Amino acid sequence: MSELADLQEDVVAELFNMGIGSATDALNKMVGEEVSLSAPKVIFLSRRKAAKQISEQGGTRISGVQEEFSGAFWGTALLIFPKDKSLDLVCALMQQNAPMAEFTSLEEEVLVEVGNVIINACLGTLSDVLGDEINTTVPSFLHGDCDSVLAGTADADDTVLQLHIDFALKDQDIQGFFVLRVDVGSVESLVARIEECMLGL
Amino acid sequence: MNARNRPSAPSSEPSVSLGAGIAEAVISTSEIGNIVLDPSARVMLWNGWMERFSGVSTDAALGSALDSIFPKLLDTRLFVSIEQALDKGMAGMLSPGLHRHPFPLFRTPSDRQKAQRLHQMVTVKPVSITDGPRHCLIQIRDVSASVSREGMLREQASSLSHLMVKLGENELRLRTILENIHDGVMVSNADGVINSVNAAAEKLFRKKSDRLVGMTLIQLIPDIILPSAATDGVGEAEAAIRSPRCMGEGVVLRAGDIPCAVSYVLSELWLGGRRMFLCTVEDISARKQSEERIRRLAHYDALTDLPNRVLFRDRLEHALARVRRDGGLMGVMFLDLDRFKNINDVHGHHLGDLLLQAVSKRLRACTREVDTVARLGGDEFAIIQSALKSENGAVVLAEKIGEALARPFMLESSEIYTSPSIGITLYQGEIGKTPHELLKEADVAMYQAKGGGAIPTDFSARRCTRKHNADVGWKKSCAGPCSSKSYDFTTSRSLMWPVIVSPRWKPWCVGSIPSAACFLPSSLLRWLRKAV
Repeated sequence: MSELADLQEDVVAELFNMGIGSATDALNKMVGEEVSLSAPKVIFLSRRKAAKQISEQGGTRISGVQEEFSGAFWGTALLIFPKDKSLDLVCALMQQNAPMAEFTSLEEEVLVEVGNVIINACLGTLSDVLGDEINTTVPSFLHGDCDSVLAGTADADDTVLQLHIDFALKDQDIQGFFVLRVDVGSVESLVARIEECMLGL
Repeated sequence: MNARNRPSAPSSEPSVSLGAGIAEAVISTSEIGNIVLDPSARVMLWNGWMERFSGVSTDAALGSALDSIFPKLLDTRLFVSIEQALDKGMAGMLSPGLHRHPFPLFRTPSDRQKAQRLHQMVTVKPVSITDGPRHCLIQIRDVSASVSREGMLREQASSLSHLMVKLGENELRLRTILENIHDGVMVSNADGVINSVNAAAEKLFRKKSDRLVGMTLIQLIPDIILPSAATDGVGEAEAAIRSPRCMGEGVVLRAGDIPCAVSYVLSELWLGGRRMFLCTVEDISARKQSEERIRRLAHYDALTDLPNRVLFRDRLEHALARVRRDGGLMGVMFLDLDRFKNINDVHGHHLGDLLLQAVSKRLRACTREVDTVARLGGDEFAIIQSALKSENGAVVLAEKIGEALARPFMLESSEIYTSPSIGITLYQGEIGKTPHELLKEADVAMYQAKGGGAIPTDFSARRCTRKHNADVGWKKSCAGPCSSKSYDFTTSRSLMWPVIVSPRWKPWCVGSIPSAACFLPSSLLRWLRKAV
């Protein structure tokens, strides 16, 4: 399968950073509170490794948001949080004091909207810069163990693109993971588009 | 019309698509709000639900820009989502948790007056018709019921969590109180198996709680009796009132088999329908020791540790009763030390006290285990000789005591000599004789001996011998720890340990002390003669 060259990887990372910046603005407006997001690095790794890495950092029980995307680049975008941390995040966004032990539908929907904002911002930036449309579906909530959430229809050795996202709000530091599950063709298409853009620069 | 009466659809021509009219009717009657915007964000579809809750008729809405219908939507997240859908083909959603009322929609006119909007869940989807321009479908769900239900749940959860905190605090407070109670507290199940203990119980039994838990109350307090379930079948509150309590004292074995006196109170409890026992245990070993000390102070002479007058009287009563009941013979001996006052005056009270202690030891050494030697006060002692085999036994003891006390006492480097005067009375079960009378007889006999007026002839030689020795001792005592033998002996009439035996078989003699020879039994006289 195609791999991104260092330069290309830097471009992708920069694009996602821009997307995260725009998501931060959107979230700040929504919540009326200082929300700070940062995406320190973008890495390509196998789905198996991604699941292992996420489990090691946040436990195997996770909650997240999923959106399918299509266009010049296609796949599934997932925003994943350790379950407890996702409750803390929602609680902080809803300005509640005591987090519940479990998600209610209201809280699920808040997390879905936050995921929607971030995923759309990132993919929107990518689409703007690459000049190719990327369409997304209505986001959905997902929860379960890390491996099954990440699996989808992809093979364990398939590549995923993973971003660590740090949320800082109300003295809380919550780490989430932005994961793009993409197939070989999709990555090749992305690589080709990036090359074209770089040549055009 | 029910399913059976419905005409069946022709099987040869299955319906594969809805006509435009039916689709429109479905959208129009849908229980969610549907708005379709064209690429320039003008309303193409405005269904009945929207008409009902927005107060804007379909005719008025169609063809209008959404921001002209709802001017306040500009620059909101909803507006941004619509733009994203139309411009970029990206779907969005607005959660009721973060955007409760994106559209000004009201369930009733009164809600509208009160500005009470519906809680909404909004999804914004790009709708692309093949090769045509992109449209935007906005769907709005009324989630007021679920928001209010969740609000209630959240309040309940919050109350519950508050209650849990309070419960936790209460438990902590109770636990703290329990841990600081001086008495040991143990809770057991109905079989007496302990399931919790406090720190005082750990301290009392000298076992850690993990060792105490699982043991039974009976293992720890062997004397305890668990009451039977008398309160079975009654309500908990009533049972708590009626719960039997039993209390008692016992000895428990601490770790290392060290005995410890305890008092305990056992109460039956009914908690959550389960029968339990609450056992409080108090270490009373210090109290017992204190009681024993008080009892000893009340019955024993502090200086000599001999029974005092009170205990002597008590023992005398018992001894008298035993002789009256079982027959036999007993003797009561009254004894004091000659010239004790002088010893006190010359050597001081401290040495006098030491002498009394030493005399007590020798008296105890002379008597049997079953006899009672008591100090009645000052230098007066009394002895109960129970179960005497013969009258002779009393005189033998008097002799023995005389010998013992005639030996010098070495007290703080001083050699002290003393001698006793002894009066004896015997008792063989005469009806009506009281302990007081018996003691008085012995007392009078002792004074008779001390006075020397009524001493039988047979005692004379012996008396003189004893007097002589005793006087040597006395002079030595006065001179202090000196072994000089050059003292001039006087022939004073002080009698050192003559024995007067009170009459017991001649009642007419009581009250007037006759000559001892008149009433001494012949066997005793024979023995005395032989001895001298």
